[in-house]
Amino acid sequence: MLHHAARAVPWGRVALAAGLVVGLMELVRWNPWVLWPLEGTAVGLLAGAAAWCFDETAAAVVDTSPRGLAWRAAARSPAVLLLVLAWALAVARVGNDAAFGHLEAILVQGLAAVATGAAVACWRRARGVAAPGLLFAAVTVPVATVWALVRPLDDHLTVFPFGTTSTHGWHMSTIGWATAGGLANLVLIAALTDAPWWHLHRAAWAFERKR
Amino acid sequence: MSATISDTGSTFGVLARQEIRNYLRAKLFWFGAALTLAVDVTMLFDLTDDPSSSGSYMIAPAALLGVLGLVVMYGLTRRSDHAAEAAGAVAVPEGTRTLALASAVVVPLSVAILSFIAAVVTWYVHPPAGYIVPPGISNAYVLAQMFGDGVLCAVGGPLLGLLLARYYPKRGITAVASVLLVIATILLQGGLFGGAQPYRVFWFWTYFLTQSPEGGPGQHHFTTHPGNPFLWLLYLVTLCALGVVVAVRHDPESDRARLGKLAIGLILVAVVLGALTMTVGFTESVVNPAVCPSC
Repeated sequence: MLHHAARAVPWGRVALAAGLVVGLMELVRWNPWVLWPLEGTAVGLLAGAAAWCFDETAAAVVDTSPRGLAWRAAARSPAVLLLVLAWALAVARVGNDAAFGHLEAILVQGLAAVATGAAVACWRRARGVAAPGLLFAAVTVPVATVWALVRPLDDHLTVFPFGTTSTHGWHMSTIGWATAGGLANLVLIAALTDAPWWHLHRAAWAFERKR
Repeated sequence: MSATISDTGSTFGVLARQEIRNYLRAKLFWFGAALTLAVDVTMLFDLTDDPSSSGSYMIAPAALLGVLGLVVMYGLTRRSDHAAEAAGAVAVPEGTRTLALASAVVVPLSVAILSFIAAVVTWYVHPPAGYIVPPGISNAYVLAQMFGDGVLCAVGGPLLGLLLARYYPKRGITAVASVLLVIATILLQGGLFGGAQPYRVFWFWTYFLTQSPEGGPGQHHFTTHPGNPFLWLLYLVTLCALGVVVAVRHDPESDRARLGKLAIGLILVAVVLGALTMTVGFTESVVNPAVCPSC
């Protein structure tokens, strides 16, 4: 498994993403009132990098091998663990003051982003897409970045709360992120275990295509 | 000869219309456009009670049309390249395809202009609080900043995507580029460091009127930063033209020597305009004496 992880995971890109996440949060720590949008960028980067870990460009070969998707995904999980550790370290260094007193909420955002990236990538891999993480990262990172910059409709839909956001806004945001993370974990489990309902869904989809 | 020119023009027209349609089909563009218009509506009807009126609206079109436009245009360019590769020996040179892709910026430009009109209407219908615009600073000054940051940056983003696709077609480049772009923009937006960063006008996006970095909460003043926003508009237009020329020059079949000279000429013009932006007319910060209670 370790041999597979060493060869299959794009370690260079994962290390670059982890380093960027830590660097972005260091900038946030330096001047949170001005550089806070970079926290959203870091969260988007975590989601994109987590998805990227599960890309299998040689899908045509590995999909027919005896090792199933769950085994291969488990083998790649150390890369996700590295991203989680980088995020935990970065958030811990930011500290409660620079995090406007909502350190746990920020930690939840990153963990939910990693879970979402992994779930989307594994779900798409289960559907036969070879490199879903690349497309996911190419869209998620810029979207998270601009959302954190503009914070549109912030009074009604707080995704990346700021220092001026109310406690209620922070609370609702955390509930949203935790829900997204929970759903992502369910999708991940379903995709990796080839859950019966999932299998039926695919069969129905294939049947529709044949018709 | 005239028939050839006519054919080339016709090919360009067909391709340009196709790329405009492709841009209009991009979901990411519609995502950005919808959010930009949502921000415009909240601004027009003053739903957020923003004391600065539309003075800081520019972040929405610049990010949602410009930064996302970088991703959209990169994707369109790569798709065009893949189609050309699949077709084998194609009659349409890369330069013509590049120009057609560049013409697709009329799509984000149109939305950005609509957004700018909404911002201008808001500026006059819901004027800013007295502590926002320093004495002696005209409305034209503020509108010039809005146009540069809001409209020209919505065009510049897609052109940057075109350049990246031509010169750095690497995996994940749009994600990395958007992160680096935003970091550099935040650092050079003005108001972050002391000394007003006069050199910041060489960057694509910056504030000319914003709150001063000095003081704590409830002690900030609104101030202008050194730089002439009117000349800065010319600087940005020159950069956009330079981007198109450099992108077309990537075509090995193009007249690289002539395009190279044109690019060098545009670089010189941009440097001169940037220097003039720093030194002509507005070389000192003008501070509004009234304290901003909401800063």
